[in-house]
Amino acid sequence: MQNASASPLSVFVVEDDDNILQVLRFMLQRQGYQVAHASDGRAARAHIEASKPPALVLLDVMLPYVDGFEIINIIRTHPVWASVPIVMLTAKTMEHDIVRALDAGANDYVLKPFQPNELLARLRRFLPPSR
Amino acid sequence: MGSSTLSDPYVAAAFWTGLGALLLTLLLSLQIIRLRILLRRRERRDQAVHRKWRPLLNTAIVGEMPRLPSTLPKKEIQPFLTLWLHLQFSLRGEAQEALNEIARRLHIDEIARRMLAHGNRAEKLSAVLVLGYMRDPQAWERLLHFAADKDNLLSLNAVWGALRINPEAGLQKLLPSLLERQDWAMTRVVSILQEVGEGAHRALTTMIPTLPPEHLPHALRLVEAMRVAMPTSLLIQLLRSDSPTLLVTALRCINTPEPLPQTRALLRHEDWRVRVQVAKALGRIGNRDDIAGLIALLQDSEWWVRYRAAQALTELPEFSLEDIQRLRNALNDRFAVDMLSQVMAERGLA
Repeated sequence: MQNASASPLSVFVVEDDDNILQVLRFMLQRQGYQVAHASDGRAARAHIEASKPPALVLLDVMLPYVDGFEIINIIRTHPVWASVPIVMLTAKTMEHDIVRALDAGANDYVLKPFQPNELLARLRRFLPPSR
Repeated sequence: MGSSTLSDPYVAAAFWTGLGALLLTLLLSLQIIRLRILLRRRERRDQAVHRKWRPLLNTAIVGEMPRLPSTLPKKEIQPFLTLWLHLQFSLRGEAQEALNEIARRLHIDEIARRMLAHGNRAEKLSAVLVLGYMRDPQAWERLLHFAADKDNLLSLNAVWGALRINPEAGLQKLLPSLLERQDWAMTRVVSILQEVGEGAHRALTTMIPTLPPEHLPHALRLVEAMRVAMPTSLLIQLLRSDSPTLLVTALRCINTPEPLPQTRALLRHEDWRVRVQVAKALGRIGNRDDIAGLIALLQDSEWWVRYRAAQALTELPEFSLEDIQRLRNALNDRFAVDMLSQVMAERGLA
């Protein structure tokens, strides 16, 4: 499902919790991936409109201004980003969001609190090896 | 303003009141500025501590133990704990254990025990959470002590910590409070017991029959929220109660057909809240024999009873769509017909 014009080693992380974002960034950079990030839905939308598609989007559901479902919609209807794999990050207490996210076009999901190794394993299913 | 003007008592009073107000405003402004400066200073200090520790904690989280400073400086304790707790809350599995290993190397357990003994409320709360995540056995007795505290946030988190350290002994000591204290948030109590797992389910079903009647409604709501199957004999016993509150809660817990006779016996209960729950329970466990009873409820004076009865009729496994449509055409009560039509429309059956 790799987009032909996507940056093969980049991941776009949309997460409003700075502590989680820093962990995700650290993990992904250690695996050799470039990380772009947005901390709210509005910034994510602006990034999608202005940037080249990444190899994968890691997307939180609960976001300020524009929620994760709307971001999936924007990506799936975007002429260039449409085929980028999306993995959702969702709280364990909001499991009903999973069905909604998968229906909207997400490829997979990871529940918060998450196990970093499990998250990486899920992401690797969609990402090319970094080195 | 001359002294002759101030000699007028009204003008003098106005002048001194105005001057006092001006001084108070100035003092208040200075205090606000001071608090802002302190806040900014604390934010900068916290950010510096986070910048120092975040890479070390992140390295541990991804599975490598970093070289650590030998101690945690006193002024870094609170911001470090804030970051450490936030990461504990966001992660699970090996990452949590790695964070615990870092905490052990920095003697955070000793620091937290001291904070629990001598700290202010915020420090005690942090300490309870830290000791719970670290499963520190030395904190067990102290956490049990705090579990009985009047402060509901501190006490409930102490319960969580104690149950993490020793779930089995913790349940024996703390389950009565969990079932009785109504100032604790139900959702948090449910999540704490779900974290304990199967042992909590067993302990709950064993303890409920021994509870005094005044504590039963709260305890049953907890059982319902946890989706624990109640022993049928106990449910049947509860369905003979005189208390509408108890009946409502017991009816909500019914999921098997054994208590059908006792449920049907409540069809004409004088309290409409009970009749609502009877209709809902019959929708879950009823059969063709309950159609007449549900039709009677469909003509109830209370809107919610009619609504739940209509829903129950559409849920009965032996009652087909044609049966429902035939029933609607045969009904004389306009309210019952309207309600059945509404529920059929809601469910896409119209």
